[in-house]
Amino acid sequence: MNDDDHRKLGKLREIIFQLALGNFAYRFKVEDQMHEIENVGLLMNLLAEELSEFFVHPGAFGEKNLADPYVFVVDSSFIITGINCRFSDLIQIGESELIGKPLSEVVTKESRIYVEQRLKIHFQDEHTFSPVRLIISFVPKTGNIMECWGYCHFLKGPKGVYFFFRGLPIAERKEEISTTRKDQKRIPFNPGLQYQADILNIRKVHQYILDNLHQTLPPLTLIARKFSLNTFKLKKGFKELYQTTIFKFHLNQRLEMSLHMIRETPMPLKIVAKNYGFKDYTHFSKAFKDRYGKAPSYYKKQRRLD
Amino acid sequence: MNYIRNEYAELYIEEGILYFTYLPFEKFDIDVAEKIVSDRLLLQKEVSFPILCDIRQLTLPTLRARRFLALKGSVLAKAVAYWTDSMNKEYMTQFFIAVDRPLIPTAIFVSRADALKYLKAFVE
Repeated sequence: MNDDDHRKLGKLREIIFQLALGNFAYRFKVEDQMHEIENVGLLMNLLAEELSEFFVHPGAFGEKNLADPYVFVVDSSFIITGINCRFSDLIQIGESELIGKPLSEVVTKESRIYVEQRLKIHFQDEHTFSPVRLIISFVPKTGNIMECWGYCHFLKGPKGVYFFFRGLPIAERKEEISTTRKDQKRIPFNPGLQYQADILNIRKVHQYILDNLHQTLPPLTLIARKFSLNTFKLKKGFKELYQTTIFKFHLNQRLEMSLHMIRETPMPLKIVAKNYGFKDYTHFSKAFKDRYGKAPSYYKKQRRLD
Repeated sequence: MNYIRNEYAELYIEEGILYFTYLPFEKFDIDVAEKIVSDRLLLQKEVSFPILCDIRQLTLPTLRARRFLALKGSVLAKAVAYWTDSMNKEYMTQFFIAVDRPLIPTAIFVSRADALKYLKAFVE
């Protein structure tokens, strides 16, 4: 194997690491398609794309029981015929005004084309058993674009067919400033990539917490700034990814590490508390008892008995 | 007690360094990870050490085992130098460091002497 092969293998390993870290936007640069290693790289790119589709939103993979989703129904002409209040809040248009409006008036042009194409392909046989997963860019009254994901179900009724949508918002973004220069290429916004960037930053926050189990965390605003997120996105994203809040996660990890130390070492309890950043032993003992139902001293005694 | 040997590893402390050698075994799961960390902490008696970890005979740990080692395996370890002579083990460990992210300074070496040199900086 020559030096070039080693370099290519290094690149291949890197994409494997990046995928394992959840960076589905990372790509192997294919320079020579005749090269065996590069072909594996090409396949890895395909895998990254596939995974990206699944994980574009952490809840989008297999999550069908959505809590408090927006819901709306359109008929075969894509006229809105039914909504819930969540959808009305999302679009910031009153219920009476929304009913009868064409869908094209509340979504971007690109999104309308994408939705229509997806539904046409997916429901061409008029089978109603499986919904289609979509990302829709809504245009609320604020003018900002609201990226949402969700499912569309196909319904049949005596008056025709309907499309039933339900889902959740992903992120809001400012409308891009239009340019008058025709030669300037517009880079299309990719909600998937944007969301992946946020997920990567939230994962970095997760690692940051693990690296700081020995001390209290700075305020959320500072953490958010450190990882290029806003506080809302940090709080919401962390909860969605890890099913807990930042401070609860930090506390629980410190308690878990403390329990591990108590069980595995003869270290005095006060030192354990200090090592994991608790203000004092009383504070540590109370948090520990709340979590494990027994005082730290109980586990200390258990260890001695063992 | 300055020496422990179980069915998965052999470990001893000498001149401020903990020498840890993986033995060949079939399945490296969470139970194995817990056992080896537990035995290491028993040997250390509350004192932190830099660790020379001989992974030449290492079996690929499961995901749960890797996560456990990255977090709880870092307890009372000042730094870890993994020593291997095989490219396969080197890649495996690179993956562990890049993805599972142990909480302490960690590096891989193909030379035992270089690994020890790295650890000397952490000896008190």
